[in-house]
Amino acid sequence: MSPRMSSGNPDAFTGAETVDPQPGERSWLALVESIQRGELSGMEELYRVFSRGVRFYLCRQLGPQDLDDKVHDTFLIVVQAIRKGELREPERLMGFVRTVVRRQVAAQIDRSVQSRREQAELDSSSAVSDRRDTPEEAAILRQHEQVAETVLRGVSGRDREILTRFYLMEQTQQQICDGMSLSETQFRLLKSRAKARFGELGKKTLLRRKFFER
Amino acid sequence: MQFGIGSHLEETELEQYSMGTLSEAGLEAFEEHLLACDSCQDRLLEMEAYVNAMRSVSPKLREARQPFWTSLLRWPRPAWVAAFAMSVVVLAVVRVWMVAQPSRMEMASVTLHSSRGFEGLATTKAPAGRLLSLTVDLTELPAFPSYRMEIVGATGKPVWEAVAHPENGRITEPTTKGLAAGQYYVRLYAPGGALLREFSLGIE
Repeated sequence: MSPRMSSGNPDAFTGAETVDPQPGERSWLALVESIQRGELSGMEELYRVFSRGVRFYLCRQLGPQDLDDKVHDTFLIVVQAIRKGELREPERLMGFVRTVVRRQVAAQIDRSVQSRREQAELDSSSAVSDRRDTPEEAAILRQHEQVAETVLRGVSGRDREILTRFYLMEQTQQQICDGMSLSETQFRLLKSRAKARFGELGKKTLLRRKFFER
Repeated sequence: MQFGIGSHLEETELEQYSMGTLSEAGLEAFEEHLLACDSCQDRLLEMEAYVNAMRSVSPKLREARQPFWTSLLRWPRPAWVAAFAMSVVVLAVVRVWMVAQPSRMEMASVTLHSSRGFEGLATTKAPAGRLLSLTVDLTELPAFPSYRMEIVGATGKPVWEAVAHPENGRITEPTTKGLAAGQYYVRLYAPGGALLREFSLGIE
């Protein structure tokens, strides 16, 4: 069951499928109670656990523009909601954070759509931001493609066809196995080998994206 | 001590999420874990890089390995017509070139000397594959308004002939094709068909 929130108020959040702490694991409940008490350590802990993930998610969905502000806003909403007691199941904190982040994304998209609409009414030649990759990103992308090309050239024509059907044409495993007389094991093996080869070849050359590693 | 964030994400789930094919049912648990797990974030980045690169490169290789003739089948009809017309033009040009080829070849002048009884000693040499301008001195021969010239191979098989008209006591007649290397004989006949003279011609 999915965590549920009313459209405008996070206090309707009632999560399900609680992840109970295993022996040796910290409890989300303790963290939530610490935040509710207004302890700085609790908020620091919340930030430590989720800041990278929230940044990662927001950047993936909305791009790097104003990322710090968006991350900050998200934590503000989460902390305020916890303090107001709107999180009824503290062990569902992960689900709650996810819901807040998703709502942030949806709200941002709404604002962008509205903004574009208003700008279009005012000025049909309004400026749009440049969505091209930075030189570093473009270089990384080229490296990825070179490695992928090496991987694809290194496999047989039939294996290449299988990988192409899956990744490019988005055929399902079942479709490919039926169409090319493959067993599921063969299919999975081929995919995992190709991916492993990509990882090996790219390990020394590929650069990790840094924008969220702060 | 760590918070309980559940087990790490499966490779298949990461792949499906990267490709946008993860089911809605699996999305919730996936994203909850992802938000709190640095390791799976890194794995997702790696998977996305891989999937995107494969998607980017696959079409190129797919195009590259297709046989040439399959690409022809995708040509639109106007392209076929244009290609056909171009082929006709090319063939015509080649044909004209082949027909015109002999006249464009540099002609070799050959003055023939009588050789009967002295074979091997008085053989006139000429280059292979070239047109020849054959010249015969008629000083000791009966005068006729025209003569028939014939070239035969070593076995006597005719390979070329022409009717030549004398001018200033000699005949100069161009051949219309080059000869392959070998031994040949040039024969000169009277209009009535009588053999007047035979010349040895060595083509090298």
